[in-house]
Amino acid sequence: MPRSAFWVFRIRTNTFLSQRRASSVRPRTESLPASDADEAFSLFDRLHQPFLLWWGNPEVELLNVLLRADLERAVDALPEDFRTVVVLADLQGFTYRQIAEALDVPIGTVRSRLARARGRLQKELWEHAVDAGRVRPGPGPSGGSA
Amino acid sequence: MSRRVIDCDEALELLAAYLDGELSGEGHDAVEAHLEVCRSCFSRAEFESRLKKRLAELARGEPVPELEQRIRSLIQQFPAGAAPPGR
Repeated sequence: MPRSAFWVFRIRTNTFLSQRRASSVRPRTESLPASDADEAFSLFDRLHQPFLLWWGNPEVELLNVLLRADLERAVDALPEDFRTVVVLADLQGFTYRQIAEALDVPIGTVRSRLARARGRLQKELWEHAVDAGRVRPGPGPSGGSA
Repeated sequence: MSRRVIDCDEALELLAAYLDGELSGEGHDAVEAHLEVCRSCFSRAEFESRLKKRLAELARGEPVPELEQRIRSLIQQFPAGAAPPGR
């Protein structure tokens, strides 16, 4: 089974189960803690830090060396609720309203969860790129890990 | 009719919804107008859009264009008869 099909299967199963639970116990509570750090993370900003040793266009360079496996690994590493919105919005192309209806949450929750999920995803990609030596941070405030 | 002028902070705040096709009317036009004049936000929008496309490709299970590009680059790097990398 392709990885993306597995994610969709998990989403359908979990959505069904959570809707069953929601019908007997209301109101629903958010399962993820609030975190501004996830939402604030930007891979683009990281790639434009002045101490990075890039030539040319850093974001295009990184996208060119990103493998499908890197993206799958980053999606896999997301918490379930984050992975769900990323898969529905970015892989399946659902609208915010469709996601809100599918998950039985307000549209504002979809919006904020997606922002945090994408931030977390980009953070995963960044950390993996640094670990794999695909970006070469020079001396700087957070450049010592590669 | 003139479009609403927004700064970079507001443009970046609206960017995800813009790229997701969730903005219409004034908000959409304001982001579009900002991207026409701001190189930094335009680059950011390009990056987010490309990353979004790469994610969408995961669902299709098709070879990504970058893979073809990498293969072509390797072929040029290692001409016929030369040992491939790792051998």
